[in-house]
Amino acid sequence: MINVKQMEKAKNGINGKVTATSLLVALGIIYGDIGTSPLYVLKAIVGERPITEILVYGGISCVFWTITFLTTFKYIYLTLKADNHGEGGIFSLYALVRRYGKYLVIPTILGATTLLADGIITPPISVASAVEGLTSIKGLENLPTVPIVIVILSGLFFFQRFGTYKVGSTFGPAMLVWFTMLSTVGLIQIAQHPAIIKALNPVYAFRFLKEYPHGFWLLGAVFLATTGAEALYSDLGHCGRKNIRITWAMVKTCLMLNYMGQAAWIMNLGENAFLKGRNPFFEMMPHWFLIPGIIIATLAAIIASQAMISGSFTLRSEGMNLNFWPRIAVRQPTELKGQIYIPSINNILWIGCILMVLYFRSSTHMEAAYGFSITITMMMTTFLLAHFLRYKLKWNKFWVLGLLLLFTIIESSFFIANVAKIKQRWMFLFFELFIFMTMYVWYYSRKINNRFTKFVDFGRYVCEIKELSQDERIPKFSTHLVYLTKANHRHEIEEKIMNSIFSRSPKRSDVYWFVHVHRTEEPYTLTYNVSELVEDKVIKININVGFRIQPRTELYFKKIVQELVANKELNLHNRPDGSTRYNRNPDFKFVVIEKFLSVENEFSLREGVLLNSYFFLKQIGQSDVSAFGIDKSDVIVEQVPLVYQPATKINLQREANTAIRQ
Amino acid sequence: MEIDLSRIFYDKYFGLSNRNIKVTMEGGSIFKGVIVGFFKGDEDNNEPYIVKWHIVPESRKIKLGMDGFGIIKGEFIETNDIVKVNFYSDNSVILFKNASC
Repeated sequence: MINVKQMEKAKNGINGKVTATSLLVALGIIYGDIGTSPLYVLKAIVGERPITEILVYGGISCVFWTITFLTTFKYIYLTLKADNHGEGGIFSLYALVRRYGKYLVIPTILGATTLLADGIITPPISVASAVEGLTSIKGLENLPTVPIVIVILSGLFFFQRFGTYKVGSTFGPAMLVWFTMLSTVGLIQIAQHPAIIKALNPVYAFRFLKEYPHGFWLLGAVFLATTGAEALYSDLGHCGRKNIRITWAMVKTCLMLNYMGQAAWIMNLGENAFLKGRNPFFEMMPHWFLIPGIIIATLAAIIASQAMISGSFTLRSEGMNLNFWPRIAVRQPTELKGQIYIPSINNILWIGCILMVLYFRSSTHMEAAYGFSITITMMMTTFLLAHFLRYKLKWNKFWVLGLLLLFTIIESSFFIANVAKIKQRWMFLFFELFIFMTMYVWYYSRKINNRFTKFVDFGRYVCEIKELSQDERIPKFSTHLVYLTKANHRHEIEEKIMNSIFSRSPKRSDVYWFVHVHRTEEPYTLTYNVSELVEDKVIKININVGFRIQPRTELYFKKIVQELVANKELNLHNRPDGSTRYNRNPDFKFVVIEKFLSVENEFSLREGVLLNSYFFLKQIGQSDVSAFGIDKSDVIVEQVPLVYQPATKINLQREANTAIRQ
Repeated sequence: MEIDLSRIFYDKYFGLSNRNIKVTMEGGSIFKGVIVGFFKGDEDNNEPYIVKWHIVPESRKIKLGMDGFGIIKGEFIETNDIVKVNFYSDNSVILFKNASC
């Protein structure tokens, strides 16, 4: 879905503008997945069936109308309207419509789950299909392709930690070469069987579904032609709507020329002939072009895989920032804005992809398992999109219902046709269940957690805080004491913070800071405001951080303080031990309060499972300290119990007539 | 759009200097005292801005709603169960529901 140098260019101005460069950038970023579909679609449709006109023409007709309805109409025309400040993807769409129904969270989780699960089969199927082209070369028919695919994929995952800055600029030109090759090779074959153009007539699609034996179930193979459409929407932010729409016209033409070229080659084999395991994509190439063709196809498959990997990182990162996913370490491999690398996800994807290759061994077997997940993602996007069109764009409800019905019929048909693939992909269900449950548990447990966060009126503590700050009998804890708070109003604060300041050993400080990080529904917001609750004593900072930005709270905080001092709005106090003389840097101490599930709880089975799973996920996930980007040397972590349901009815009675024994 | 009375209560209450109130609940129970804490609702679930309030009798002077042993004092009342709130500072009333009697 993304490569970062191109993405950076997009963020720096290309986004929205249409230039030759921006169009090239779009080609390299967003068409990896859908652009490499010709490697396996027609082979999957024809398979081991005898070649007939209705199968080949009908298959091509279905591919064309599927791409037209789902990719062109639904995604390119309709869904791209749903940009969240330029960003796309299922989480961005959810952020746009979440206020219109609490139930929308389930389709969002389901859609994101299946999209993420898709990430472990797209790279293997693309790379395997390309590499298997080698077996079309005379003498290499029995070449073992599995080790080559594993080496390529392992290399790809290994190099993720370095980012794609240096090679990213070659993706656009490489994909241009790829699409040029697709159309040229296709055109040569069409010239030999021009009647194939008739296949664009929807009557062939209709006859294919109605008359061809078990034709409906072949929709599972047809659907592979449009699996990249969802990824295309996820990459909206990297290229801009106009660039995508313009390049799509060219891409669709190239794709269809190639599909029709493959169909023409198949038709020339003769009625009732068989493919015998051959891939028409490579077979139709002139023999002298086979090796360059395989190299170009492998490069395109690598670019498609890279896009899927980067897209998985972005999706996980958005999920974390919208509280759908536990916090995990996110790295920035280069200084470029927006480029991220998530080591744990990289490892999971790598292991998952390698297992896929070892289990399926060939692209033909992968085709039989591929596509089911993405039908679910598409159905969920349709549902969210209907809310967007109705409530955000204020479209007439009958129009929206009509569109919803149209896409539900189309996508449900594909879903049913793909259900047959479950037996080939049963192991995916465990992976999908794991992702779904993780998101479900995290999302709903945080809701429960938040519901039991008690706030107090800060005004009641103003005098005590002033007194504590000036009470020299209490040893000074730090010059500046910083708490992270969820309170978004200036006069409220969590009770646990007040407890932390006053309970046990009171924490005396010259200045108390309360920092509230607010995750906005816009992707790239980074603003702040400051209010002084008690002059020169208690200061509250609200930092608004977009859901695509990794929060670096300590860095932001120090920058804000720097600005306040520079503007003479703040005096930095001396250190308690006089060390200011030797080190003029201010002395800040962060207190992070982490919750644990208290034994003093009574809850229902669902709540118990949710909360226990949540705290388990928290243990294996990233700590609050790392997640907020706080330097460990400046931070104190306090553990407080989350008393969710205090145990009541304690039947504790003192024995009758007993005094304290001496 | 429906008016969120919990938000009106919240805004009015924390703007007062005399925060003594009387809260009448469904079923007729009455609580007098001051609010020492509150729990926010979930906007995504269309819950009120404040779903639950912690009220303690003013005489107790309890800052964090608990005693020295950490035992919670006072009562937790849910916004959905409140019938009306009387403010002693200005003798005003917020009616959450029509009183049944």
